[in-house]
Amino acid sequence: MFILETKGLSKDYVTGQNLRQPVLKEIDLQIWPGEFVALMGPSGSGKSTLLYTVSGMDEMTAGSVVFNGQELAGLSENELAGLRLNKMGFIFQQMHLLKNLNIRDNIILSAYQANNSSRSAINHRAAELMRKSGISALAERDITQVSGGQLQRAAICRALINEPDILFGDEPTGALNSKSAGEIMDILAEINLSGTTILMATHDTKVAAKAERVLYMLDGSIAGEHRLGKYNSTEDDSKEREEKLAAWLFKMGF
Amino acid sequence: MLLQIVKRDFQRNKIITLVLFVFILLSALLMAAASHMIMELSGSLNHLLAQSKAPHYVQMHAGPLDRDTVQRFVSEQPLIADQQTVEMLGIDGSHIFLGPSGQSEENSVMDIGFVRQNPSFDLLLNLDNQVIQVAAGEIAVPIYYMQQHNLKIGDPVRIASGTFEQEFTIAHFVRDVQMNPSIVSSKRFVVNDADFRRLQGNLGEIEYLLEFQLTDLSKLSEFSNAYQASDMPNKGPAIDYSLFKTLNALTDGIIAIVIILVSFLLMLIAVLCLRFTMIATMEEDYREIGVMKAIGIPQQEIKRIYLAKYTVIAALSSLGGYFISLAVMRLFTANISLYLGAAPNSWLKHTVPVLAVCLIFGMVILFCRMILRRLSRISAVEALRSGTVHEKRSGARWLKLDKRKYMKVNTFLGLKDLMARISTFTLLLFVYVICVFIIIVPVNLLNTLQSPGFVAYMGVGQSDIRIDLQQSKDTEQRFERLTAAIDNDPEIKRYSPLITSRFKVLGGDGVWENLNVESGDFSIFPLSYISGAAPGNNNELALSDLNASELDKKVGDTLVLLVGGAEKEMKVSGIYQDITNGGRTAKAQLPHDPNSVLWYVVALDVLPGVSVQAKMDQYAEAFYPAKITHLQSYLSQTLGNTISQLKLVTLLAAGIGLSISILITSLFLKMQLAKDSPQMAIMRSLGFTRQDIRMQYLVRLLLISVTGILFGILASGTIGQSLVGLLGSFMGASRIQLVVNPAAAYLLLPAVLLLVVTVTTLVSSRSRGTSSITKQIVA
Repeated sequence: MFILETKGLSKDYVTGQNLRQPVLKEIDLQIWPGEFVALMGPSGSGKSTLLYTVSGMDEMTAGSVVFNGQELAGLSENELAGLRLNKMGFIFQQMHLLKNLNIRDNIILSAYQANNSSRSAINHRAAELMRKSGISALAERDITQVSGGQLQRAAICRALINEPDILFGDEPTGALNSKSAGEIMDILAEINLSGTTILMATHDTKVAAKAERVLYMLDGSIAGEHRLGKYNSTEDDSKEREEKLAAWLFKMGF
Repeated sequence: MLLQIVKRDFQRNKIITLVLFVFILLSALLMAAASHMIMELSGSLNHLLAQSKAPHYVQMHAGPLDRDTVQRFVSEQPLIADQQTVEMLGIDGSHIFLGPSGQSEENSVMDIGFVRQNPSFDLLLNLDNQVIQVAAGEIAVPIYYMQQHNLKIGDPVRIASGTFEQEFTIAHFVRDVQMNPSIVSSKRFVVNDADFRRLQGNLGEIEYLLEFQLTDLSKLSEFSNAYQASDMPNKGPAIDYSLFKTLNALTDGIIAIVIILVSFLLMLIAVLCLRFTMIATMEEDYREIGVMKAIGIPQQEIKRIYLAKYTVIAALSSLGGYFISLAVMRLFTANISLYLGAAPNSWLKHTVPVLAVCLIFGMVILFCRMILRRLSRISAVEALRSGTVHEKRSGARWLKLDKRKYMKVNTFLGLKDLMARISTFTLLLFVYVICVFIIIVPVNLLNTLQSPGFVAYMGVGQSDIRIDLQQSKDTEQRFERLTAAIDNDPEIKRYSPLITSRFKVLGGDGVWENLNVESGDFSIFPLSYISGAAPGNNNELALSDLNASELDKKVGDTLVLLVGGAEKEMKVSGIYQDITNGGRTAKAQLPHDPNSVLWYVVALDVLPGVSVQAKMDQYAEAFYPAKITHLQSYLSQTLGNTISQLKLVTLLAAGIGLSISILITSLFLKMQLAKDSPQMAIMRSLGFTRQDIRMQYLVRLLLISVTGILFGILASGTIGQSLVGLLGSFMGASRIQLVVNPAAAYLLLPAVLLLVVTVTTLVSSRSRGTSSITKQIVA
């Protein structure tokens, strides 16, 4: 069974003069559990909107989104919030950590709120995630006292703290330099290998080359799909995948 | 274009604009009204002083008058321009019956004098500021009594003493430049010369007013010194032109000052709201400001855009306040017009309120400009890059989620945010402190006035029943019969007969003054004393607080009383608070002279199990027309009017306090929600529900309101207590201790305020519009 499936998913934005601007056009999408799927395409093609709509953060205009067998359209706001809290993780381009909290509190916040395990277990898990992400020393720091790359690692830890079924990423490396971006992608690939499904929008071929499958979006529709297979974390594999992906994207007009 | 920006901004922030508008409008209205009052007061007073040809110096004198001495002084003293000696016939209030109800003035604290119209100056005027002329059988009554008894022209005034009786018809009401104000305890009635002679032949005592007009008013103190150094008559107080002005201006002047203070308070709330609103708007427009700066629009121009909106609001509301003040001005100046008459028109009278409103407008604009200085701190690059202001947050780093094992996440987030940007919440804190203060102080004062212990301030001991016998021909006999009956009544537990007589006391300036002294055994129903104790023997005397301060006596001092024609030195044994009889009373154990008795009182307690009401009915029937009062009813009768007015003020204050709380809370939340929407969106993206976020706001607002309530209660107990003490000192009880009903003041009222804040917070933070998190998070 798919972990996420959309049928005829459409989304219109209403502009100032009450004109409808279609952003997603009848998208049919299926994501398998444990898959790592990248969304690519030019700016304005609908990648981010697709992510926000399938995660219940934005309302769809038509069609259906089924997550883990549950139709999102039938869920109340609170039920959707429950899904985001317990089953989904989200990483943004601008990190969006909460201003008042230090790095550790940002990470443990949603786990404390979900209250699925003891607070000491949560603290332990947060420590483990921070260790793996290399930010243990920054736990007490304010979010203004760390670099962009470190912030994004903290954001990943936050997204993973409740052990979500799926992780959404909206340009998670978009605001980072290439070194940081590479490190973040290695972390995401590792997470995926441990079984977490990832759906990620990106402009970066290097980043997308780590995914198992790449979907090319154009004008609100999925214009093509390219399968790269599981990434095996070697340098040769990376280069080969990047080249194959670049050639395909060239054909797609990217 | 500027107008369009302003118009769009109005539409975007209707409520905030309206709130600011209302506060500035009220502030301008009160400021215009108060300044108009002051101008009217000054104009009317000067006009009255001129029209009535007010004397510059008046010496009151009781006793024989040596007219030759006066004549000699006048001829020798070069400063005197004119002099007249006014005969004033003092008649006790118990002989005067005013109006159709025919009620006597026996309980009046006023010294009533009958005079004839003066020939050259100190003219007594009617309500049209014309010199009063009364025919035989006519009388002109002071405005004070017109107000007190709702008297009308044509109403009767009866003077009766023993077999003598004379009835007058009210022809005018007297505007008296010397004795107009209610705080002056003498009043002058004007009668025709023949009637005056007739009254003088039958009752009362003549007092003299030696009145002077000087050639040079600036030499008043020189003249006063010369007068006091001479052998001129001086058995009575001396008053001068400046005192007339002060006394006439005092009441309305104080009201005007209070109104101005309220106006400033409202303006303070308005500018705090303004500061909050402007900062929030600038933060909202942060990126746009960056763009404007980046494309080279000068900072002055950007300032002009922001200033335009607030200039329009301030201008319209100030103008509105001014025009409304024109419509309601009469309400504010009604008392002035009645007592002092209308002032002649002057350009100053119209200009000053306009200037006062301009001052409000100017202060608002100045404040806006000060806030707009923040614009210069915005960096175009930073604004374009981040799009949001990096707020200065104290951080409250000590507050960490992982260290709070049992605190709910929403409570933690609310608390953390509050601590991190506490300065943002000071507006609310300030508003809640003010609201609690203006609600609790009147409630506590009301509770104090209604408490049984308030008798402590009324110069009476706590008893079940009080029986008053007013002076009449056979009062002495009735009093004896009454005490004999009580003495033989087996249902009476204890009683104390008390007789109030008028004595003469030697004042500090060597002048004999009247002093009402109550005699009896004050150990039966003891009073509470500020200092000292009840008089223990017939050489001791206790003074009311006002008398003690006026006679400049403290416990242990001595004073001289005229008792039975002989001077008697009395030691002050104690000082107590008393707001009855003008606050000027005394207690002693003196023998009484039936001729100087003012009234008789018997205080008594019934035995347990005996019905107080039944005993009251029994005595009322047996000793008609004695006034039998349940002590609690006595309190409510004496203070009834004050209590009912205060109840209204309390309700009004509570209404205003709660309305301001609702208004400012909702305004604050509206701004705060707009400002916090990106952070709220992040939380929602993490799986927090809207209810969770509302809970966080509720935690913040409740914490702030609880803090505000605590500070408000503290301020009520300290500043409020001092204010009430100040108010009480005018009435004779400078040390009124507010009796606080803890259930009402510390539980019920705070609970009501908390409920109001809770409901306002929940309603104001209710989800509105789009449920899209994306729009907020990306915005």
